[in-house]
Amino acid sequence: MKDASGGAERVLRYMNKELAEGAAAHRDRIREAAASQVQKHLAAMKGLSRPKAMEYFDSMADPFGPRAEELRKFKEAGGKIIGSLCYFAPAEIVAAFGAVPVRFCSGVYEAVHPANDLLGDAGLCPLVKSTLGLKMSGASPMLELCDMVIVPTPCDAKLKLGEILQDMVDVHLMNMPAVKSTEAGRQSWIGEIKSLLSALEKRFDRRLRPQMLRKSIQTYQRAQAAWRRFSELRKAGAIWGRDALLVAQLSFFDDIARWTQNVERLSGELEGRGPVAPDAARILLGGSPIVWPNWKVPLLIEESGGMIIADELCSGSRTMHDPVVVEEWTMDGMLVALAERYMIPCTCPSFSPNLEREQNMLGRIRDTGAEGVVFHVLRGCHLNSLDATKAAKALRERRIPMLKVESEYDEGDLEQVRTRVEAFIEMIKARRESSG
Amino acid sequence: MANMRLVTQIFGLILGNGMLIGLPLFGTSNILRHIYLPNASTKFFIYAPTYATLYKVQDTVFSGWNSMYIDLLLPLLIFVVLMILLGRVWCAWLCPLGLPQDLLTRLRRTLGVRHIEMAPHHADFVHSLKYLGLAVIVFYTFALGAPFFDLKRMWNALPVPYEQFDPNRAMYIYLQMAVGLAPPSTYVPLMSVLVAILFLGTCFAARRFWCHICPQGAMMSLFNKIAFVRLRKDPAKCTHCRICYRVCPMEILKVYEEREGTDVSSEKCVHCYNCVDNCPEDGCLSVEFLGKKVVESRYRCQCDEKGVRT
Repeated sequence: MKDASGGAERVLRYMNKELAEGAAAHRDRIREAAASQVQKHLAAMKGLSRPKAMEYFDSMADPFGPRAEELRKFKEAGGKIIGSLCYFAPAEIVAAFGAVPVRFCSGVYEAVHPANDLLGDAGLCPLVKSTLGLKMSGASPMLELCDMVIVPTPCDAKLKLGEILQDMVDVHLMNMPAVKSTEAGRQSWIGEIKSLLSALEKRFDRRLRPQMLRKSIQTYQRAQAAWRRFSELRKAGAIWGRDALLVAQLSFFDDIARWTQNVERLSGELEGRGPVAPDAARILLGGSPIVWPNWKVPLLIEESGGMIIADELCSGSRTMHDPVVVEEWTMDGMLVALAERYMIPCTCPSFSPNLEREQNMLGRIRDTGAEGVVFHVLRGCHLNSLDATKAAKALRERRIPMLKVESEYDEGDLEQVRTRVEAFIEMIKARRESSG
Repeated sequence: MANMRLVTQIFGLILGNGMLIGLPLFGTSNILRHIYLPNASTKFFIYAPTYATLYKVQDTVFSGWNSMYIDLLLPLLIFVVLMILLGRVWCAWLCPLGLPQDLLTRLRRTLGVRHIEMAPHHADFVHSLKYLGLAVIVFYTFALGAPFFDLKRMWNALPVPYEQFDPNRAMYIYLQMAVGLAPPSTYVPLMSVLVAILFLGTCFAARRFWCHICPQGAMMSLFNKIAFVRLRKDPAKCTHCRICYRVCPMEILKVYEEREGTDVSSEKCVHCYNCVDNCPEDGCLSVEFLGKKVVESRYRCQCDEKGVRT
């Protein structure tokens, strides 16, 4: 198989010609299915009190749509696009080179099929399979534009995804330490960040000047500030959680300065507005990543009388919540600040002991007045499933109800999950009445 | 907050210590001479209104054998009261040695030079040296003065230690000479010059290095547990982002690591409040005086800031 940039022949370890052809046959079907998944969920999100500023985000929502077209033009003009498959790869570094960072985790249901054909592992994380399926089939125009894909390796599925993808695209793996509380773990991660920088320098064939990185960090700091302001409004209930989550997700691939502007505009519109659903049960959504357009769980919660007032998802507020604070604006100082920002406060279940997770969850519950927790687990995500057990205990001790919801990348489990979510929210509301 | 500190530091330098301009009015006041401050000027300054407590301690321990060290009572009482009131707030806000350290850090950052970062366990070791330094100073001066040690003849070879080491002396006396306050013949011990050079070098390379090993700081650290000024943390608000540790010039891990308790005051802390200033979680870190919140952390975007912070 040829390199995307027409480079050398790749050594195929997983793929073969038949598989590639088979996957390519899925392409149009995946595109159609993705488009209808996006449209269906967008239609479900449009309510009466939807802020006008959400129009921008709706228009950008299709990951195969307008933004992909923009990026195609950008690339034609000589621009570089670097994909990343997890939260951990600092977008600031990629953007500092003038390249566009695009974060990829796929929420397209249909795309799991090519990956199933290849791996035959029905139990594997659907998010990873879907991402792999997108690349195998070539369905995602944005993913096809990537010159290189950065794959951090927090979990087993992502670890192997990084390996399999090497059959199709240039991959830069980032070794994630599983223990981050030790100095050795921290140093190892700082080393990974530095090696990412040199890999990018090699690819772009130029050295990164500190001034460029500084500017890039500041651009993202503004985005983080905009998100903080927006989060406060969300806490007050001025916007539905499903909309807030979509806003967070679009930062994955949107032009970050434009995204920031639009978040500020949205916040401006929401300022002073009362809660959109004052009686709704205030829910904190946690657990496995929920990636647009896999909007099944957020929609279920909010259609059943709940409101996602806060989340602790790596695909949600974790993306933008923590600021990068640089104490020393030297190259080294900036890289250390970035490394620490992306790893140390992260509550990904791939870390052990992940003490921060329940602590952050409890802190956020206290801060937002959430009445219950929905802990979402993608089938096959053992790490989140295990963390759910731990979270359940911590929450039970504080008499905060929690519902663990397992889900797949299809709509087969929809009604079953709906029944459980409805019962959970009713229970929260009943508690409210009984406690006066 | 760093800029606020700069103002009080300059105020402390000029008024409290009378170092650069010298204040003859204070210089002749006998009452002020008896109020020793935790880290005021060296006693060799012309017009210094008062001296550091450590000087008084040294002098009395050296010469007070016959008077049962009774002279120490009042200065130590004042010192304890000041410590209970403010703890090591003196260090970051008023100390004449703090200001040059902060200015050196500002200079280093403007030049874009990397700082030397100590690993937590190294920092702990360096911190413990200050107690050793203090113990050596006190014991040595005691030995010099106590008749049964018979060390009087050591006096010429190695007199009262901190008077010789104090980098203040070399740093400011030359300034006083330059502006004509001190006669050009003023004696500056070679040791003080060497320590001052070491001071400038290390404090340029590492943030507030002198504060790690300062024997006056050691004296103050002893009272950390009972000081009215406390650094508080609300662990439920902490996301463990480690920013507080990264911005801490004293390399104190406790503020970052604490998960249960609310008191994160440390004997190493010089109370610069960089951590409170930079903590991105509203109300997570705060400074309390007698249980009353003085200032607390608030998220703010670093991108809105101008200039370099120290």
